[in-house]
Amino acid sequence: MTDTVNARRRGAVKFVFWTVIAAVVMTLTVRSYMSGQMAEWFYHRAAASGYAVNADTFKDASKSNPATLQVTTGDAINGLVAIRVEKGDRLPRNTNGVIADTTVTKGRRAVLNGSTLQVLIPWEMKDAKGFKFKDTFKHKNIETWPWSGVWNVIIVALLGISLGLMAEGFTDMLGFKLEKIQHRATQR
Amino acid sequence: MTTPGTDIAMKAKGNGMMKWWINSMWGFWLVLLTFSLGLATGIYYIWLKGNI
Amino acid sequence: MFDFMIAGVQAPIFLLVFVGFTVGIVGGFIGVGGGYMVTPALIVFGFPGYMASGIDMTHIAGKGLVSTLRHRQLGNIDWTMALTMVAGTMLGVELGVRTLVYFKNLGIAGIVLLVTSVVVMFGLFLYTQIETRRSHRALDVLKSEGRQLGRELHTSSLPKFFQSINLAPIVRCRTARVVVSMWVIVLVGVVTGFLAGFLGVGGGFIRVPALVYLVGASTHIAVGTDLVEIVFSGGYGALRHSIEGHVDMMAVVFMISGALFGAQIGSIATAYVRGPAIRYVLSYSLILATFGSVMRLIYVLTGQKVEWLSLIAVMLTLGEMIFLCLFIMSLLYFAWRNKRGAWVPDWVKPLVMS
Repeated sequence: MTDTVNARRRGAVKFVFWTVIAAVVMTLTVRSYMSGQMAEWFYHRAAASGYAVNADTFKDASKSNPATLQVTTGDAINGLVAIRVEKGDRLPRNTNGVIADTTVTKGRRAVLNGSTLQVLIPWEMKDAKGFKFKDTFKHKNIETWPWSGVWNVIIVALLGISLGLMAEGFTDMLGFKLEKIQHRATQR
Repeated sequence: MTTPGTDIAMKAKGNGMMKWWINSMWGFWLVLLTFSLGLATGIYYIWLKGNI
Repeated sequence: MFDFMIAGVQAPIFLLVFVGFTVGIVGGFIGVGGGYMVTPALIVFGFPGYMASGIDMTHIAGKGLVSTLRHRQLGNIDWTMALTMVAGTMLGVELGVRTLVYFKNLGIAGIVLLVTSVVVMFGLFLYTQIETRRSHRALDVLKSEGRQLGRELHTSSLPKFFQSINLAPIVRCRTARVVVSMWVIVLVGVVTGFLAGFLGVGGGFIRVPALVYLVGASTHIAVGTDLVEIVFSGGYGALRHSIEGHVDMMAVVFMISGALFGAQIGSIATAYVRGPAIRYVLSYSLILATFGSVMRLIYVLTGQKVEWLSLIAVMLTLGEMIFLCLFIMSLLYFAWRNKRGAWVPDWVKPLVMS
Protein backbone atom coordinates (compact mmCIF):
# COMPACT_ATOMS: atom_id res chain seq x y z
CA MET A 1 0.00 0.00 0.00
CA THR A 2 2.81 2.40 0.97
CA ASP A 3 4.70 1.38 -2.18
CA THR A 4 1.67 2.25 -4.31
CA VAL A 5 1.21 5.60 -2.59
CA ASN A 6 4.92 6.39 -3.00
CA ALA A 7 4.81 5.38 -6.67
CA ARG A 8 1.81 7.64 -7.23
CA ARG A 9 3.53 10.52 -5.42
CA ARG A 10 6.63 10.06 -7.59
CA GLY A 11 4.36 9.97 -10.63
CA ALA A 12 2.74 13.22 -9.58
CA VAL A 13 6.12 14.93 -9.14
CA LYS A 14 7.25 13.60 -12.55
CA PHE A 15 4.00 14.80 -14.15
CA VAL A 16 4.21 18.31 -12.68
CA PHE A 17 7.92 18.69 -13.51
CA TRP A 18 7.60 17.65 -17.16
CA THR A 19 4.37 19.59 -17.61
CA VAL A 20 6.20 22.74 -16.54
CA ILE A 21 9.06 22.00 -18.99
CA ALA A 22 6.61 21.31 -21.83
CA ALA A 23 4.64 24.46 -21.03
CA VAL A 24 7.81 26.58 -21.01
CA VAL A 25 9.01 25.15 -24.36
CA MET A 26 5.60 25.64 -25.95
CA THR A 27 5.23 29.17 -24.62
CA LEU A 28 8.67 30.18 -25.88
CA THR A 29 7.95 28.63 -29.28
CA VAL A 30 4.58 30.33 -29.63
CA ARG A 31 6.00 33.68 -28.50
CA SER A 32 8.90 33.36 -30.93
CA TYR A 33 6.43 32.63 -33.74
CA MET A 34 3.81 35.27 -32.93
CA SER A 35 6.40 38.02 -32.43
CA GLY A 36 7.67 37.43 -35.97
CA GLN A 37 11.07 36.18 -34.81
CA MET A 38 10.61 32.84 -36.59
CA ALA A 39 9.40 34.63 -39.71
CA GLU A 40 12.63 36.66 -39.67
CA TRP A 41 14.62 33.42 -39.45
CA PHE A 42 12.55 31.95 -42.28
CA TYR A 43 12.80 34.93 -44.63
CA HIS A 44 16.43 35.53 -43.78
CA ARG A 45 18.42 36.33 -46.91
CA ALA A 46 17.85 36.85 -50.60
CA ALA A 47 18.78 33.76 -52.65
CA ALA A 48 18.88 35.83 -55.85
CA SER A 49 19.34 39.50 -56.79
CA GLY A 50 16.02 41.25 -57.43
CA TYR A 51 13.15 42.88 -55.57
CA ALA A 52 11.93 41.89 -52.12
CA VAL A 53 8.12 41.93 -51.96
CA ASN A 54 5.22 40.90 -49.78
CA ALA A 55 3.18 38.67 -52.11
CA ASP A 56 0.06 39.03 -49.88
CA THR A 57 -0.29 42.64 -51.06
CA PHE A 58 -0.93 41.63 -54.70
CA LYS A 59 -3.44 38.83 -54.10
CA ASP A 60 -5.66 39.86 -57.01
CA ALA A 61 -3.04 40.85 -59.54
CA SER A 62 -3.49 39.66 -63.14
CA LYS A 63 -2.38 40.50 -66.67
CA SER A 64 -5.44 42.69 -67.22
CA ASN A 65 -5.25 44.19 -63.73
CA PRO A 66 -1.56 44.28 -62.75
CA ALA A 67 -0.45 45.35 -59.28
CA THR A 68 1.89 48.33 -59.31
CA LEU A 69 4.68 48.24 -56.73
CA GLN A 70 6.76 51.33 -55.95
CA VAL A 71 10.47 50.44 -56.02
CA THR A 72 11.98 52.01 -52.91
CA THR A 73 14.59 51.56 -50.18
CA GLY A 74 14.07 50.74 -46.53
CA ASP A 75 14.12 47.94 -43.98
CA ALA A 76 10.46 46.94 -44.10
CA ILE A 77 7.84 46.25 -46.76
CA ASN A 78 4.58 48.10 -46.09
CA GLY A 79 1.89 47.91 -48.74
CA LEU A 80 2.56 47.86 -52.46
CA VAL A 81 6.33 48.44 -52.40
CA ALA A 82 9.34 46.50 -53.64
CA ILE A 83 12.83 46.90 -52.15
CA ARG A 84 15.94 46.25 -54.23
CA VAL A 85 18.15 43.43 -52.79
CA GLU A 86 21.32 41.72 -53.96
CA LYS A 87 21.97 37.99 -53.52
CA GLY A 88 22.97 37.31 -49.91
CA ASP A 89 21.46 40.53 -48.48
CA ARG A 90 19.34 40.35 -45.33
CA LEU A 91 15.69 40.64 -46.30
CA PRO A 92 13.58 43.60 -45.15
CA ARG A 93 10.85 42.91 -42.58
CA ASN A 94 7.50 41.59 -43.96
CA THR A 95 9.17 40.11 -47.05
CA ASN A 96 7.79 36.75 -48.14
CA GLY A 97 9.29 36.47 -51.60
CA VAL A 98 11.89 37.92 -53.98
CA ILE A 99 11.16 38.67 -57.63
CA ALA A 100 14.46 37.77 -59.29
CA ASP A 101 16.10 39.97 -61.97
CA THR A 102 15.88 37.08 -64.45
CA THR A 103 12.07 37.04 -64.01
CA VAL A 104 11.82 40.79 -64.56
CA THR A 105 13.99 40.50 -67.69
CA LYS A 106 11.68 37.80 -69.11
CA GLY A 107 8.71 40.09 -68.48
CA ARG A 108 6.04 37.37 -68.29
CA ARG A 109 5.25 37.61 -64.59
CA ALA A 110 6.64 41.00 -63.63
CA VAL A 111 7.73 44.07 -65.62
CA LEU A 112 9.93 46.99 -64.53
CA ASN A 113 8.70 50.43 -65.62
CA GLY A 114 11.14 53.04 -64.38
CA SER A 115 10.68 53.19 -60.62
CA THR A 116 7.64 50.91 -60.53
CA LEU A 117 7.35 47.12 -60.77
CA GLN A 118 4.22 45.75 -62.39
CA VAL A 119 3.19 42.28 -61.17
CA LEU A 120 0.99 40.28 -63.54
CA ILE A 121 0.13 37.17 -61.49
CA PRO A 122 -1.69 36.80 -58.17
CA TRP A 123 -0.50 35.43 -54.90
CA GLU A 124 -2.31 32.10 -55.24
CA MET A 125 -1.71 30.01 -58.33
CA LYS A 126 -5.24 28.55 -58.35
CA ASP A 127 -6.65 31.82 -59.74
CA ALA A 128 -3.99 32.28 -62.39
CA LYS A 129 -4.98 30.70 -65.70
CA GLY A 130 -2.03 29.42 -67.65
CA PHE A 131 0.35 29.75 -64.71
CA LYS A 132 1.64 26.96 -62.53
CA PHE A 133 2.48 27.04 -58.84
CA LYS A 134 6.15 27.62 -59.57
CA ASP A 135 5.26 30.95 -61.17
CA THR A 136 4.04 32.62 -57.95
CA PHE A 137 6.39 34.76 -55.84
CA LYS A 138 5.48 33.61 -52.35
CA HIS A 139 8.47 31.88 -50.67
CA LYS A 140 10.52 32.22 -53.85
CA ASN A 141 14.23 33.10 -53.93
CA ILE A 142 14.48 33.35 -50.16
CA GLU A 143 17.05 31.67 -47.96
CA THR A 144 16.23 30.47 -44.49
CA TRP A 145 18.72 30.95 -41.65
CA PRO A 146 20.38 27.51 -41.41
CA TRP A 147 20.60 27.56 -37.61
CA SER A 148 16.81 27.82 -37.45
CA GLY A 149 16.85 24.17 -38.53
CA VAL A 150 18.86 23.30 -35.45
CA TRP A 151 16.46 25.31 -33.27
CA ASN A 152 13.47 23.53 -34.79
CA VAL A 153 14.99 20.13 -34.09
CA ILE A 154 15.82 21.16 -30.51
CA ILE A 155 12.27 22.45 -29.96
CA VAL A 156 10.72 19.31 -31.37
CA ALA A 157 13.06 17.05 -29.38
CA LEU A 158 12.34 18.93 -26.12
CA LEU A 159 8.61 18.85 -26.80
CA GLY A 160 8.67 15.14 -27.63
CA ILE A 161 10.68 14.21 -24.53
CA SER A 162 8.81 16.47 -22.10
CA LEU A 163 5.36 15.50 -23.37
CA GLY A 164 6.27 11.81 -23.38
CA LEU A 165 7.60 11.91 -19.81
CA MET A 166 4.66 14.08 -18.74
CA ALA A 167 2.32 11.36 -20.00
CA GLU A 168 4.33 8.69 -18.15
CA GLY A 169 4.07 10.73 -14.95
CA PHE A 170 0.35 11.12 -15.51
CA THR A 171 -0.30 7.38 -15.80
CA ASP A 172 1.97 6.70 -12.81
CA MET A 173 0.11 9.33 -10.80
CA LEU A 174 -3.20 7.64 -11.57
CA GLY A 175 -1.78 4.32 -10.47
CA PHE A 176 -2.24 2.90 -13.98
CA LYS A 177 0.06 -0.10 -13.99
CA LEU A 178 1.86 -0.75 -17.25
CA GLU A 179 4.11 -3.76 -17.09
CA LYS A 180 6.79 -4.76 -19.55
CA ILE A 181 5.34 -6.99 -22.26
CA GLN A 182 6.48 -10.61 -22.20
CA HIS A 183 7.52 -11.31 -25.78
CA ARG A 184 6.70 -14.96 -25.71
CA ALA A 185 5.72 -16.59 -28.98
CA THR A 186 2.94 -19.15 -29.02
CA GLN A 187 4.29 -22.70 -29.30
CA ARG A 188 2.55 -24.67 -32.06
CA MET B 1 -37.88 -8.08 -25.67
CA THR B 2 -34.28 -6.96 -25.78
CA THR B 3 -33.00 -3.90 -27.62
CA PRO B 4 -30.04 -4.21 -29.95
CA GLY B 5 -26.70 -3.34 -28.45
CA THR B 6 -27.20 -4.94 -25.03
CA ASP B 7 -25.05 -7.77 -23.72
CA ILE B 8 -28.04 -10.08 -23.55
CA ALA B 9 -28.83 -9.46 -27.21
CA MET B 10 -25.25 -10.18 -28.14
CA LYS B 11 -25.14 -13.43 -26.20
CA ALA B 12 -28.38 -14.80 -27.70
CA LYS B 13 -27.46 -16.98 -30.68
CA GLY B 14 -30.72 -16.08 -32.46
CA ASN B 15 -29.55 -12.48 -32.76
CA GLY B 16 -26.25 -13.46 -34.45
CA MET B 17 -27.61 -12.60 -37.91
CA MET B 18 -28.78 -9.14 -36.78
CA LYS B 19 -25.28 -8.42 -35.53
CA TRP B 20 -23.57 -9.64 -38.74
CA TRP B 21 -21.63 -6.48 -38.90
CA ILE B 22 -19.96 -7.09 -35.57
CA ASN B 23 -19.84 -10.91 -35.61
CA SER B 24 -18.01 -10.95 -38.92
CA MET B 25 -14.59 -9.31 -39.23
CA TRP B 26 -15.33 -8.19 -42.79
CA GLY B 27 -18.72 -6.82 -41.78
CA PHE B 28 -17.17 -4.81 -38.97
CA TRP B 29 -14.44 -3.58 -41.31
CA LEU B 30 -16.99 -2.53 -43.94
CA VAL B 31 -19.26 -0.63 -41.54
CA LEU B 32 -16.31 1.14 -39.91
CA LEU B 33 -14.86 2.10 -43.30
CA THR B 34 -18.19 3.38 -44.59
CA PHE B 35 -18.62 5.49 -41.46
CA SER B 36 -15.06 6.82 -41.75
CA LEU B 37 -15.41 7.74 -45.43
CA GLY B 38 -18.71 9.45 -44.64
CA LEU B 39 -17.09 11.44 -41.83
CA ALA B 40 -14.17 12.34 -44.13
CA THR B 41 -16.62 13.55 -46.80
CA GLY B 42 -18.41 15.64 -44.17
CA ILE B 43 -15.16 17.18 -42.93
CA TYR B 44 -14.16 17.93 -46.50
CA TYR B 45 -17.44 19.63 -47.42
CA ILE B 46 -17.63 21.65 -44.19
CA TRP B 47 -14.05 22.86 -43.89
CA LEU B 48 -11.99 22.07 -46.95
CA LYS B 49 -14.04 22.59 -50.09
CA GLY B 50 -12.26 24.84 -52.55
CA ASN B 51 -8.77 23.95 -51.38
CA ILE B 52 -8.15 21.40 -54.18
CA MET C 1 -8.98 29.43 -38.28
CA PHE C 2 -5.34 30.29 -37.60
CA ASP C 3 -3.21 32.51 -39.78
CA PHE C 4 0.07 30.68 -40.39
CA MET C 5 2.30 33.62 -41.24
CA ILE C 6 5.20 31.48 -42.45
CA ALA C 7 3.22 29.00 -44.56
CA GLY C 8 1.05 31.89 -45.74
CA VAL C 9 -2.24 29.99 -45.32
CA GLN C 10 -5.20 29.98 -43.00
CA ALA C 11 -6.22 26.58 -41.70
CA PRO C 12 -8.53 25.32 -38.95
CA ILE C 13 -6.59 24.53 -35.73
CA PHE C 14 -9.07 21.76 -34.89
CA LEU C 15 -8.21 19.81 -38.06
CA LEU C 16 -4.48 19.98 -37.42
CA VAL C 17 -4.92 18.77 -33.85
CA PHE C 18 -7.36 16.09 -35.10
CA VAL C 19 -4.89 14.83 -37.72
CA GLY C 20 -2.12 14.79 -35.11
CA PHE C 21 -4.37 12.82 -32.76
CA THR C 22 -5.55 10.19 -35.29
CA VAL C 23 -2.15 9.64 -36.86
CA GLY C 24 -0.66 9.56 -33.35
CA ILE C 25 -2.92 6.63 -32.47
CA VAL C 26 -2.09 4.81 -35.70
CA GLY C 27 1.63 5.56 -35.45
CA GLY C 28 1.89 4.48 -31.84
CA PHE C 29 0.08 1.22 -32.63
CA ILE C 30 1.68 0.08 -35.89
CA GLY C 31 4.97 1.98 -35.68
CA VAL C 32 4.61 4.27 -38.69
CA GLY C 33 5.21 7.98 -38.97
CA GLY C 34 2.03 8.37 -41.02
CA GLY C 35 3.55 10.72 -43.60
CA TYR C 36 1.76 8.99 -46.46
CA MET C 37 -1.52 10.04 -44.79
CA VAL C 38 -0.53 13.38 -43.27
CA THR C 39 1.19 15.03 -46.25
CA PRO C 40 -1.84 14.71 -48.61
CA ALA C 41 -4.11 15.83 -45.74
CA LEU C 42 -2.03 18.98 -45.15
CA ILE C 43 -2.13 19.74 -48.89
CA VAL C 44 -5.91 19.51 -48.74
CA PHE C 45 -5.89 21.90 -45.76
CA GLY C 46 -4.20 24.42 -48.06
CA PHE C 47 -0.52 24.06 -47.26
CA PRO C 48 1.84 24.09 -50.27
CA GLY C 49 3.21 20.61 -51.06
CA TYR C 50 6.78 21.26 -49.95
CA MET C 51 5.56 22.73 -46.61
CA ALA C 52 3.18 19.81 -46.07
CA SER C 53 6.15 17.47 -46.38
CA GLY C 54 8.38 19.57 -44.09
CA ILE C 55 5.73 20.09 -41.40
CA ASP C 56 4.90 16.38 -41.46
CA MET C 57 8.52 15.27 -41.14
CA THR C 58 9.16 17.68 -38.25
CA HIS C 59 6.06 16.64 -36.33
CA ILE C 60 6.96 12.97 -36.89
CA ALA C 61 10.25 13.49 -35.04
CA GLY C 62 8.41 14.87 -31.99
CA LYS C 63 5.58 12.37 -32.12
CA GLY C 64 8.09 9.54 -32.60
CA LEU C 65 9.79 10.55 -29.34
CA VAL C 66 6.48 10.53 -27.45
CA SER C 67 5.65 7.02 -28.75
CA THR C 68 9.21 5.73 -28.23
CA LEU C 69 9.18 6.71 -24.56
CA ARG C 70 5.96 4.79 -23.97
CA HIS C 71 7.18 1.76 -25.94
CA ARG C 72 10.39 1.83 -23.91
CA GLN C 73 8.28 1.58 -20.76
CA LEU C 74 6.44 -1.40 -22.29
CA GLY C 75 9.71 -3.14 -23.18
CA ASN C 76 9.01 -3.04 -26.93
CA ILE C 77 12.41 -1.69 -27.98
CA ASP C 78 15.42 -3.80 -28.85
CA TRP C 79 18.19 -1.21 -28.64
CA THR C 80 20.80 -3.52 -30.19
CA MET C 81 18.62 -3.96 -33.27
CA ALA C 82 17.72 -0.26 -33.42
CA LEU C 83 21.27 1.05 -33.17
CA THR C 84 22.63 -1.59 -35.60
CA MET C 85 20.08 -0.46 -38.17
CA VAL C 86 20.55 3.32 -37.91
CA ALA C 87 23.64 3.68 -40.11
CA GLY C 88 22.13 1.40 -42.76
CA THR C 89 18.89 3.39 -42.71
CA MET C 90 20.67 6.74 -43.13
CA LEU C 91 22.75 5.39 -46.02
CA GLY C 92 19.64 3.94 -47.64
CA VAL C 93 17.74 7.24 -47.30
CA GLU C 94 20.60 9.17 -48.94
CA LEU C 95 20.72 6.65 -51.84
CA GLY C 96 16.94 6.86 -52.20
CA VAL C 97 16.96 10.65 -52.35
CA ARG C 98 19.74 10.66 -54.99
CA THR C 99 17.79 8.14 -57.10
CA LEU C 100 14.72 10.36 -56.84
CA VAL C 101 16.74 13.38 -58.02
CA TYR C 102 18.00 11.28 -60.98
CA PHE C 103 14.41 10.51 -62.05
CA LYS C 104 13.42 14.13 -61.36
CA ASN C 105 16.08 15.29 -63.84
CA LEU C 106 14.65 12.86 -66.39
CA GLY C 107 11.24 14.47 -65.83
CA ILE C 108 9.46 11.24 -64.87
CA ALA C 109 9.75 11.36 -61.07
CA GLY C 110 6.02 11.75 -60.46
CA ILE C 111 4.96 8.66 -62.41
CA VAL C 112 7.86 6.49 -61.20
CA LEU C 113 7.13 7.49 -57.59
CA LEU C 114 3.44 6.67 -57.81
CA VAL C 115 4.00 3.36 -59.61
CA THR C 116 6.71 2.32 -57.12
CA SER C 117 4.55 3.21 -54.12
CA VAL C 118 1.58 1.26 -55.55
CA VAL C 119 3.70 -1.83 -56.26
CA VAL C 120 5.53 -1.79 -52.90
CA MET C 121 2.45 -1.10 -50.78
CA PHE C 122 0.25 -3.61 -52.58
CA GLY C 123 2.92 -6.29 -52.41
CA LEU C 124 3.41 -5.71 -48.69
CA PHE C 125 -0.35 -5.68 -48.13
CA LEU C 126 -0.79 -9.06 -49.85
CA TYR C 127 1.98 -10.77 -47.94
CA THR C 128 1.04 -9.26 -44.57
CA GLN C 129 -2.67 -9.94 -44.98
CA ILE C 130 -2.20 -13.57 -46.08
CA GLU C 131 0.33 -14.35 -43.34
CA THR C 132 -1.74 -12.62 -40.66
CA ARG C 133 -4.90 -14.47 -41.59
CA ARG C 134 -2.97 -17.75 -41.34
CA SER C 135 -1.70 -16.70 -37.91
CA HIS C 136 -5.20 -15.65 -36.84
CA ARG C 137 -6.62 -19.03 -37.88
CA ALA C 138 -3.80 -20.86 -36.15
CA LEU C 139 -4.42 -18.90 -32.93
CA ASP C 140 -8.12 -19.70 -33.19
CA VAL C 141 -7.40 -23.43 -33.49
CA LEU C 142 -4.95 -23.39 -30.58
CA LYS C 143 -7.43 -21.47 -28.43
CA SER C 144 -10.17 -23.97 -29.17
CA GLU C 145 -7.76 -26.76 -28.10
CA GLY C 146 -7.39 -24.98 -24.79
CA ARG C 147 -3.70 -24.19 -25.35
CA GLN C 148 -1.95 -21.27 -23.66
CA LEU C 149 -1.54 -18.44 -26.17
CA GLY C 150 1.55 -16.23 -26.16
CA ARG C 151 1.84 -12.67 -27.37
CA GLU C 152 2.93 -13.60 -30.90
CA LEU C 153 2.53 -16.23 -33.60
CA HIS C 154 4.29 -16.22 -36.98
CA THR C 155 3.59 -18.54 -39.89
CA SER C 156 6.20 -17.13 -42.26
CA SER C 157 9.33 -19.22 -42.93
CA LEU C 158 11.41 -16.26 -44.15
CA PRO C 159 12.93 -15.37 -40.74
CA LYS C 160 14.43 -18.87 -40.40
CA PHE C 161 16.22 -18.42 -43.74
CA PHE C 162 17.64 -15.00 -42.84
CA GLN C 163 18.61 -16.11 -39.35
CA SER C 164 20.55 -19.02 -40.87
CA ILE C 165 22.86 -16.65 -42.77
CA ASN C 166 26.17 -17.05 -40.99
CA LEU C 167 28.01 -13.84 -41.91
CA ALA C 168 30.04 -12.45 -39.00
CA PRO C 169 29.53 -10.51 -36.82
CA ILE C 170 26.52 -12.24 -35.35
CA VAL C 171 24.33 -10.04 -33.18
CA ARG C 172 22.33 -11.15 -30.13
CA CYS C 173 19.19 -9.08 -29.86
CA ARG C 174 18.25 -9.97 -26.30
CA THR C 175 14.89 -8.23 -26.03
CA ALA C 176 13.73 -9.57 -29.40
CA ARG C 177 15.26 -13.01 -28.59
CA VAL C 178 16.79 -13.10 -32.06
CA VAL C 179 20.30 -14.14 -33.05
CA VAL C 180 21.12 -12.93 -36.55
CA SER C 181 23.97 -11.66 -38.69
CA MET C 182 24.55 -7.90 -38.30
CA TRP C 183 24.54 -7.65 -42.11
CA VAL C 184 20.93 -8.81 -42.29
CA ILE C 185 19.86 -5.98 -39.98
CA VAL C 186 21.99 -3.44 -41.86
CA LEU C 187 20.58 -4.69 -45.19
CA VAL C 188 17.04 -4.27 -43.87
CA GLY C 189 18.01 -0.73 -42.85
CA VAL C 190 19.53 0.09 -46.26
CA VAL C 191 16.65 -1.33 -48.33
CA THR C 192 13.90 0.19 -46.18
CA GLY C 193 15.83 3.47 -45.94
CA PHE C 194 16.23 3.53 -49.74
CA LEU C 195 12.48 3.05 -50.27
CA ALA C 196 11.76 5.68 -47.62
CA GLY C 197 14.14 8.22 -49.16
CA PHE C 198 12.85 7.51 -52.66
CA LEU C 199 9.16 7.65 -51.75
CA GLY C 200 9.69 10.57 -49.36
CA VAL C 201 8.22 8.81 -46.33
CA GLY C 202 9.42 7.73 -42.88
CA GLY C 203 9.52 4.09 -43.94
CA GLY C 204 7.71 2.52 -40.99
CA PHE C 205 5.19 0.70 -43.15
CA ILE C 206 8.12 -1.04 -44.90
CA ARG C 207 10.41 -1.47 -41.89
CA VAL C 208 7.89 -3.06 -39.52
CA PRO C 209 7.03 -5.95 -41.89
CA ALA C 210 10.74 -6.25 -42.78
CA LEU C 211 11.72 -6.63 -39.11
CA VAL C 212 8.94 -9.17 -38.56
CA TYR C 213 9.33 -11.25 -41.73
CA LEU C 214 13.06 -10.96 -42.43
CA VAL C 215 14.76 -10.52 -39.05
CA GLY C 216 12.12 -12.50 -37.13
CA ALA C 217 11.32 -9.96 -34.42
CA SER C 218 7.89 -10.04 -32.80
CA THR C 219 5.45 -7.42 -34.07
CA HIS C 220 5.57 -5.45 -30.80
CA ILE C 221 9.37 -5.28 -30.88
CA ALA C 222 9.27 -4.33 -34.59
CA VAL C 223 6.87 -1.46 -33.79
CA GLY C 224 8.88 -0.11 -30.86
CA THR C 225 12.28 -0.52 -32.57
CA ASP C 226 11.02 1.06 -35.77
CA LEU C 227 9.82 4.12 -33.86
CA VAL C 228 13.41 4.66 -32.68
CA GLU C 229 14.51 4.71 -36.36
CA ILE C 230 11.71 7.14 -37.12
CA VAL C 231 13.00 9.52 -34.44
CA PHE C 232 16.43 9.54 -36.12
CA SER C 233 15.18 9.78 -39.69
CA GLY C 234 12.48 12.27 -38.67
CA GLY C 235 15.01 14.41 -36.83
CA TYR C 236 17.36 14.43 -39.82
CA GLY C 237 14.44 15.13 -42.16
CA ALA C 238 13.26 17.96 -39.89
CA LEU C 239 16.72 19.54 -40.02
CA ARG C 240 16.99 19.31 -43.83
CA HIS C 241 13.43 20.55 -44.43
CA SER C 242 13.86 23.45 -41.98
CA ILE C 243 17.04 24.60 -43.73
CA GLU C 244 15.26 24.43 -47.09
CA GLY C 245 12.45 26.62 -45.71
CA HIS C 246 9.72 23.96 -45.62
CA VAL C 247 8.61 24.15 -41.98
CA ASP C 248 6.01 26.25 -40.21
CA MET C 249 6.53 25.55 -36.49
CA MET C 250 3.04 26.59 -35.33
CA ALA C 251 1.52 23.90 -37.53
CA VAL C 252 4.00 21.43 -36.01
CA VAL C 253 3.07 22.51 -32.47
CA PHE C 254 -0.66 22.05 -33.15
CA MET C 255 -0.10 18.60 -34.60
CA ILE C 256 2.16 17.47 -31.77
CA SER C 257 -0.50 18.63 -29.26
CA GLY C 258 -2.94 16.17 -30.84
CA ALA C 259 -0.26 13.52 -31.29
CA LEU C 260 0.56 13.59 -27.56
CA PHE C 261 -2.82 12.01 -26.73
CA GLY C 262 -3.02 9.85 -29.83
CA ALA C 263 0.45 8.38 -29.44
CA GLN C 264 -0.32 7.42 -25.83
CA ILE C 265 -3.52 5.59 -26.78
CA GLY C 266 -1.88 3.83 -29.73
CA SER C 267 1.23 2.77 -27.81
CA ILE C 268 -0.63 1.59 -24.71
CA ALA C 269 -3.11 -0.30 -26.91
CA THR C 270 -0.28 -2.61 -28.04
CA ALA C 271 -0.14 -4.00 -24.48
CA TYR C 272 -3.67 -5.34 -24.86
CA VAL C 273 -3.40 -7.09 -28.22
CA ARG C 274 -1.45 -9.88 -29.83
CA GLY C 275 0.94 -9.51 -32.78
CA PRO C 276 -1.57 -10.44 -35.54
CA ALA C 277 -3.91 -7.58 -34.46
CA ILE C 278 -1.15 -5.06 -35.13
CA ARG C 279 -0.30 -6.73 -38.46
CA TYR C 280 -3.96 -6.58 -39.51
CA VAL C 281 -4.12 -2.84 -38.90
CA LEU C 282 -0.83 -2.39 -40.78
CA SER C 283 -2.17 -4.34 -43.79
CA TYR C 284 -5.39 -2.24 -43.83
CA SER C 285 -3.30 0.90 -43.76
CA LEU C 286 -1.31 -0.40 -46.75
CA ILE C 287 -4.31 -1.33 -48.91
CA LEU C 288 -6.11 1.96 -48.26
CA ALA C 289 -2.95 3.92 -49.03
CA THR C 290 -2.56 1.83 -52.22
CA PHE C 291 -6.07 2.80 -53.37
CA GLY C 292 -5.28 6.45 -52.69
CA SER C 293 -2.07 6.20 -54.74
CA VAL C 294 -3.88 4.39 -57.58
CA MET C 295 -6.48 7.21 -57.73
CA ARG C 296 -3.69 9.80 -57.82
CA LEU C 297 -1.85 7.79 -60.52
CA ILE C 298 -4.93 7.55 -62.75
CA TYR C 299 -5.58 11.26 -62.15
CA VAL C 300 -2.03 12.09 -63.31
CA LEU C 301 -2.18 9.66 -66.28
CA THR C 302 -5.48 11.15 -67.49
CA GLY C 303 -3.79 14.57 -67.66
CA GLN C 304 -5.29 15.79 -64.37
CA LYS C 305 -8.65 16.33 -66.04
CA VAL C 306 -10.92 13.93 -64.12
CA GLU C 307 -11.45 16.01 -60.94
CA TRP C 308 -13.52 13.42 -59.07
CA LEU C 309 -10.49 11.07 -58.99
CA SER C 310 -8.54 13.65 -57.07
CA LEU C 311 -11.53 14.11 -54.78
CA ILE C 312 -11.73 10.35 -54.09
CA ALA C 313 -8.01 10.32 -53.27
CA VAL C 314 -8.68 13.07 -50.67
CA MET C 315 -11.64 11.15 -49.18
CA LEU C 316 -9.51 8.01 -48.92
CA THR C 317 -6.66 9.86 -47.20
CA LEU C 318 -8.88 11.41 -44.54
CA GLY C 319 -11.13 8.37 -44.29
CA GLU C 320 -8.15 6.04 -43.89
CA MET C 321 -6.87 7.95 -40.85
CA ILE C 322 -10.29 7.92 -39.20
CA PHE C 323 -10.90 4.23 -40.04
CA LEU C 324 -7.57 3.02 -38.64
CA CYS C 325 -8.03 5.12 -35.52
CA LEU C 326 -11.55 3.72 -34.94
CA PHE C 327 -10.41 0.13 -35.58
CA ILE C 328 -7.61 0.43 -33.03
CA MET C 329 -9.93 1.96 -30.44
CA SER C 330 -12.43 -0.83 -31.12
CA LEU C 331 -9.73 -3.44 -30.47
CA LEU C 332 -8.88 -1.66 -27.21
CA TYR C 333 -12.55 -1.62 -26.22
CA PHE C 334 -12.96 -5.32 -27.06
CA ALA C 335 -9.78 -6.15 -25.12
CA TRP C 336 -11.18 -4.35 -22.08
CA ARG C 337 -14.50 -6.19 -22.40
CA ASN C 338 -12.72 -9.54 -22.87
CA LYS C 339 -10.68 -8.96 -19.72
CA ARG C 340 -13.90 -8.34 -17.77
CA GLY C 341 -15.46 -11.51 -19.18
CA ALA C 342 -18.04 -9.64 -21.25
CA TRP C 343 -19.09 -10.74 -24.72
CA VAL C 344 -16.81 -10.02 -27.66
CA PRO C 345 -17.11 -11.26 -31.28
CA ASP C 346 -15.42 -14.63 -31.88
CA TRP C 347 -12.95 -13.19 -34.38
CA VAL C 348 -11.62 -10.79 -31.74
CA LYS C 349 -10.80 -13.37 -29.02
CA PRO C 350 -7.51 -14.68 -30.50
CA LEU C 351 -6.39 -11.12 -31.28
CA VAL C 352 -6.63 -9.63 -27.79
CA MET C 353 -4.98 -10.56 -24.52
CA SER C 354 -7.19 -12.18 -21.92
